[in-house]
Amino acid sequence: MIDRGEAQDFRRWANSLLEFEESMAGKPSASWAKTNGIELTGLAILLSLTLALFGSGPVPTGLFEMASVAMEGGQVNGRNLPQAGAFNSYLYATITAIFLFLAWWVTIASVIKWTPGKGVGPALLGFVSAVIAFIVVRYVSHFVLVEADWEVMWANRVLALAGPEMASQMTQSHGSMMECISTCYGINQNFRLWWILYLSFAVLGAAYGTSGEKPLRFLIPFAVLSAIFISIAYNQSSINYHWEGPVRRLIIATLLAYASFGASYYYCLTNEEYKANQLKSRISILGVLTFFFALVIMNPPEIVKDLAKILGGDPAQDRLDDVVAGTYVPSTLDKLAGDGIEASQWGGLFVNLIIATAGGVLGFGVGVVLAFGRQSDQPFFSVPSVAVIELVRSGPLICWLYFAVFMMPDLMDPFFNAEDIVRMLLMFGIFGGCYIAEVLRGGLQAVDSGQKEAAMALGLSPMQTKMQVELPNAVRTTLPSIVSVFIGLWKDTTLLFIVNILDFFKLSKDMPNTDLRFLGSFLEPVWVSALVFWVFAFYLSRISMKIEKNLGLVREGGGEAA
Amino acid sequence: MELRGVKIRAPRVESLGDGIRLLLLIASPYIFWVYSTKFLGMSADYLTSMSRDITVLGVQKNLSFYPMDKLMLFYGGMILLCFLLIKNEFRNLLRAASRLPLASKLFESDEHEPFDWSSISTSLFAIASFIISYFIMVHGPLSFSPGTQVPFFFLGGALVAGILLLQDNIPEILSSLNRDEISTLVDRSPKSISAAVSVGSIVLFATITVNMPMFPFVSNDIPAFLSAVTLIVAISWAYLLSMEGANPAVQSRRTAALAFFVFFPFVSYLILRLIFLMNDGTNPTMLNRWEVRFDFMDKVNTFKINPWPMEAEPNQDSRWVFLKAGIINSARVTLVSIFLCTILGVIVGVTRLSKNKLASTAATVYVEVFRNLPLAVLLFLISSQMGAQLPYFVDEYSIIELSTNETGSEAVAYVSNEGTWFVNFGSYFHAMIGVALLLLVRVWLRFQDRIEPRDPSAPSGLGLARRPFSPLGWRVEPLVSDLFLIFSLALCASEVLPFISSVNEQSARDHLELGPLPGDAHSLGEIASDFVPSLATVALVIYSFFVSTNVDDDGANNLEIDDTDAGIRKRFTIWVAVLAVAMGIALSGGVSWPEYSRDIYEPFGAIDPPGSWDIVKGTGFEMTPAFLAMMLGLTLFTTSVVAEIVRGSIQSLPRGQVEAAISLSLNPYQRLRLVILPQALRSMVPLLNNQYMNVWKNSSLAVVVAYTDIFYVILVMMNNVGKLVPLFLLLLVTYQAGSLTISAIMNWYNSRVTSVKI
Repeated sequence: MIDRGEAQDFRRWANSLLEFEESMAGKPSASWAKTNGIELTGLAILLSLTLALFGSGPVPTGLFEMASVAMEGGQVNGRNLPQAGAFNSYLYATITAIFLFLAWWVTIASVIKWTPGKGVGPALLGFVSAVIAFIVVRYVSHFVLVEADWEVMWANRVLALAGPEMASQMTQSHGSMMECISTCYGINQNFRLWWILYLSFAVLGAAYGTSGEKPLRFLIPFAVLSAIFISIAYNQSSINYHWEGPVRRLIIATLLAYASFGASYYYCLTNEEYKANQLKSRISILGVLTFFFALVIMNPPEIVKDLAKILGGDPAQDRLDDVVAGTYVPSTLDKLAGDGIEASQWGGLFVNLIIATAGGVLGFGVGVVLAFGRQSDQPFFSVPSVAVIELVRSGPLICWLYFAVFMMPDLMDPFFNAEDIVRMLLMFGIFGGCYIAEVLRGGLQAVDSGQKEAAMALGLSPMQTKMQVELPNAVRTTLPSIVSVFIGLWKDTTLLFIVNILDFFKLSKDMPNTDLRFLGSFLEPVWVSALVFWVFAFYLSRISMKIEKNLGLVREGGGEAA
Repeated sequence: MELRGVKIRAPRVESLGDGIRLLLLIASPYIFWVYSTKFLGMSADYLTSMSRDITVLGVQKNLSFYPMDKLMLFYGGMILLCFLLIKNEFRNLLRAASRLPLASKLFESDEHEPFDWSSISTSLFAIASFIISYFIMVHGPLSFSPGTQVPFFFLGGALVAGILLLQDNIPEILSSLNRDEISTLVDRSPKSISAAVSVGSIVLFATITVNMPMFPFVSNDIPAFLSAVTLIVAISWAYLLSMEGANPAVQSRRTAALAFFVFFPFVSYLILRLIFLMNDGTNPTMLNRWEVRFDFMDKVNTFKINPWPMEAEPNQDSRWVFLKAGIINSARVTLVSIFLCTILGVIVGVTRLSKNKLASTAATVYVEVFRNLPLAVLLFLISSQMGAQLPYFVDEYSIIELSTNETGSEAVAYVSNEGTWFVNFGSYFHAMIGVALLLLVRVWLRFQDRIEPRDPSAPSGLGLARRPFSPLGWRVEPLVSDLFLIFSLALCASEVLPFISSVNEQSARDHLELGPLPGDAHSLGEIASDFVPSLATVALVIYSFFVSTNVDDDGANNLEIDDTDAGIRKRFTIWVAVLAVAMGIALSGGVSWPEYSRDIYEPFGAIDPPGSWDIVKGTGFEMTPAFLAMMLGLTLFTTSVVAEIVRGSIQSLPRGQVEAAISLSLNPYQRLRLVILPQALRSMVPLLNNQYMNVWKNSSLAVVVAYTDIFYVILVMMNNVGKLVPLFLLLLVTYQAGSLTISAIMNWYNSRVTSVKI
C-alpha cells in the first residue's frame, strides 16, 4: 500500500514536472521521449545543473567561476572592476546561475526530446526567451551586485528626497531638538514635510479602508513598506544625523495610517453601502485638500502667519541670530508664524510628487471645465475649449515647460509674480487638464441620454445635471483612463530637469558632483531614480487595473493566439 | 411659504458645505470687484499707452505706440467675435448669405420660404456697430483722448455689448423702429423697460464717451466705474437667471453672456498684454523675445549639428536650413522607431498570449518594466550605459576585420561608444536599381498569375480619375498601375533624396578635395521652391498608390497562385535567381568599408597621440551614439505600449474565430497571419495612430541624449538669438504638422481596414 501510494505521489510529481518542462520547451516529438519522458527530464536537469554550477571555458561560466571572478575583480573592455564582497559575489552568481540553469534545461530538453519536430515555433520561443532572460539577469545582477558602488545614493538620500535647501536643514540643523546647543545653523523647517506625510498617510489608510479589501492585504504590505522606510532612515552610513527623529515620526505616520484604516474599515463594515460611498467621496475630497494643505503649509500665506501670531507664535526669523547661536529653540508655532520655504527652495522627490499631484488635481478641475465646454451647444464655450485643448495637445510637454519658464512670466508677471515651480504646477495642471478633458469627453458622450432627461424631469438645474448626474457617470467609466493620464504626468515630471528644476531625476543625475569620492558613479543614481519612478508608476497602474476590475469594465474573451 | 400650491423653503444652512457655499456667495462680489478692477485697470493702462500718439517732426516718439486701426481690428474684433459667438446666429447668417444675388447661383437657395431677418438682426447690428466705431476711431473727426476716452470706449463698449446680449431685445427694437411703433417702446410694459435699458445704455455710453470731461466720477477711475456697473448688472442678471424664467436656448445664451462678463477682464488683459509685448519698443529685450518676425531665420547659424543626412554648415547656412535638418533628423528617428516598434510590439504582444509560460512571463515582465519607466530616464540610462559599456573609441573593437596595414584597417562593422560604423553600398544608385529589379519581377509574376475578375466593371467619366488605366482591360490595367507606382517611386526617390540629403554632393566634393560647399544662406522661399518638385513627386506617389489600391478594392486584380509543389519550387527558383542578380547589381557599384586609419605620421614608433585615429570620412555608414540611443529608447518604450494594444485587440476577438481556424487545420502561424491579426487590426489601428503621434512628440526628448532634432535646434537658436516666441510658434507648427500627417495616413489606413463590415 505504502509503495503504491509513493509511486502515485511520484507519478503525480513527475507529471507536473513534465508539464512544466513542456510549457517551456514545447511538446516532445522523438519516439524515445514518449515512454521515458521523466528519465530524460532527470538527465536534462542533472546535466544543466552541472553546467550551471561548474561551467567554464567555451560555455557560459557557472556559479563558482562567476563568484570567484567577481571577487577577484579585473578588467572588462579596458575598465577596472572593483573587487566585490563574498556575499554580493555569491548572491550575483546564484541569481545568474538559476537563470543559466533554466536556459540550459530548456536547451537540453528540447534537443534530447527533439521538440522542434513538433513545431519549430514553440521550441524556439522557449529557447530564445530563456537565453534573453539569462543575459538580461546576468547583466543587471552583475551591475547591481558587483559593479555598482551604492555609497553615492546612501550619502545623498535626503538630498534626493527633499532637495539641497531642505536637506541641509534636515541633516545639519537640529532646530527644534533639545540637543541643539551650538551646532544649529538655521531654523529647522522639517515639520512641514512631516505634517504633509502624516496627512497623506492618513488619507491613504482611510482610502484603503473603504476599498473593501481584506485588512491583511493592506496591513502587511504597508508594514513592509514602513519597515523599508524606517530602515533607510535608521541606516547611518555616510550621513551624520539624528536618526531618532525621522524614525519616530515614520512610526507615528504608520500608526496614523493604520488608525485611519481601521476607522474607515469599521465604518464601512457597520454602515450601509450608501454611507460607505459617501465616505469614499469625502476621502477623495480630503485627498484634494491634502494637496492644497501641502502648498499652504510649505509656504504659508500671510493669513496663516497672522493666525499663528495671534495664537502666540513669535516669528522665528526675527531671532535668527539666537537660533544660530543655539540659545533659542523656536517652537513649531514660532516657525509657523515665520516665513515658510519658498517654492524655489523645494526639491527632490517632493517636487515630483507635488507637481504630478497638481497635474492630477488641478488637471481634473481644468479637464472638467474644458470637457463640458467642448460639449456645450454655445460656441462661446465650445470654440475656446476646443482651441485650448488642441493647442496644448499639439506640442510635446517640454515645449510647454519651456513656455512656462520663459514666456509665461512675461504674460503673468504684472498680476502674479510666481516662481518657477509654481508655474510648473500650473502648466502641469493645464497640460494634464487637456488630456483629461479628452478622456472625459469620451465618457460624457457615452452617458445615456435617458440619465440627462431623467435629471431634467426631476427638476435639476443644468448645472446640477452636469455636476451630479453626467459627471459621476462619465468619471465612473473613464477612471482607469484618468489614472493612466496621471501615470503619464507622473512619468513626465522627470522632464523638469530640462528647465533646471531640482527634481529627483535632476538631483540623481548631478549626484556624482556632490563629492569627489563619487565622481565615477554616475550610473547608480540614475538606476535608483528609474526604480523609484517605476515603482510609483507600477503601483498606480495596478490601482488602475483594480478599479477597472471592480467597475466591471474588463471584457473577457479571445485568448491564445499563438 | 407656499406659492401656487408649491412649498418653497427659504434656503437654510444645514451643513458645512452649505456654510461654505453661503460664504462663497457673500464673498464672490468682493472677489469679483478686486479681480475686475485689477485687470480692467491694467487693460486701461495698456490702451492708454498704446494709443498715445506723440509724433514729433514725423517721428513717433511713443515707442509703445500701436496704430489705432490695428488695435481696433484685433481688440475690437475680439469683442465682436465674443458677441457673435454668444449670439450664435452663424447658421442663419449663412442662410442669409446664400440669398445674396452672387451666392444664390453657387448655392441652392430656398427662396420660396420667407426669410426671417430678425433672426440675424442682432449679429448684423453688432457688425454694423463695429464698422461704425472703426471709422469713428480711425478716420473720425473726433480725436479721443488716450488717457480716458479711448479706454472707456473699448472697455465700456464691451460692457454695453454684454448688456445688450443679456437684454436680448435688439430685433424687437429694430422692428419697432422699422414700423414706426416707437410708441410701443414707451408704454411701461416689461418689454419697453427692457428696450429702455438697452437703448439707454447705448445712449449713455455714447454720451459719456464723447463728453468725458463732464463726468469726472467716470474719468477719475474708469475701471472702478465699469466694475461697479458690471457688478450691478451681473448680480441682477444672476438672480434673474436663477429664476429660470426664459426658455432653455435663451437661458443658455444669457448664461454665456454672464460668463462673458466674468471672463472679459482677464481675456482683455491677456490680448492687450500680448499686443503690447509684441510692439513695445520701450523694452528692447522683451520686444526681441515677442516680436513675431522671421527675418532672423534667413541669417546664418553658428552652431554645429550632426552631418548626416543633411549637412548644415555653421556660419554658412541659414537657420531655415538648420531647421530643415532638424526636421529631417526628427522624422528619421521617428520613422525608424515606428517601424521597429510595430514589428517588435506585435511579436511581444503575441508572445504574451502564448502557451509557453517562460516566453509569456518574459514578455509580461518586459512590458511592465518599460511601460512604467519614464522615457527621459530610460533615454538617459541607455545613453549613459552605452557610454560606459561599449568599448572606447581608442581601443577599437572591430566585429570582423578584413585587412590590416600600417596605417589602418577595414572591417564590416566597428562598434564604439563614439559611434558605430557599418559597411555600406558604394553607390546608392546601384542599390536602388537592385530594389527596382525585385519589384519588377514581383509585378511580372503577378501579371502571370492574374485571372479574369468576376465582375469586370470599368469606370467611366469621373471614375476614370480613380482608375486611369481601366480602358486597357483587366489583364493590363493592374500591370500598368503597378508599373506606374514603381515609376513614381523612382521619380520621387530621385527628387526627394537630394532635397533631404547633401551628403552625396559633399562626398563627391571631398573626393575631389574641393572643400565644403559654398554656403548660400537659403531663405524660406528658396527652400520652398526647392521643395516644390519633391512635393509634386510625393503627390504623384500618393496618386499612383491610390490608383493601385483602387484597382485592388474594385476587385479588378484577381490572382490565382499555383501552390502545388511544382509551382512553389518554380517560384522559389525564380526568386533565388533574381535575388542573386539584384545583389550583384546592388554591389556592382562597389562596397564602402568603414576604414579605420591610425596615425599616419608615426616616424619613431611613438604612442598614438589622442586625436590621431579616426574613421576615414565618407567610408562606411555611421550611426551616431545619440541616434542609436534615441532609436533604442523610443523603440523599447513604444514597443511595450504597442504590445499592450496588440494583446488587447487580440483578446477582444471572439474565441470562435480561433477555434474555427484550428478546425480548418491552420497551423499557429497561419492562424495568426490569416485569421487573428487581420481582425485585430481593426481595433488596433486607431490606438496605434495615437501611439505613432506619441512617438513623434516624444522624439522631442532627444535633447536628453543630445541628438539634434527639431527641439534641440530650436532650443539652441532660442538661446543664441533670444527670439523666443517666433521660434516657439515654429516648434508648435512643426509638431502639429507632423501629427496631422501621421493621423491622416493612419485614418486613411483605418478606413481601408474597416471598409469591409463584419
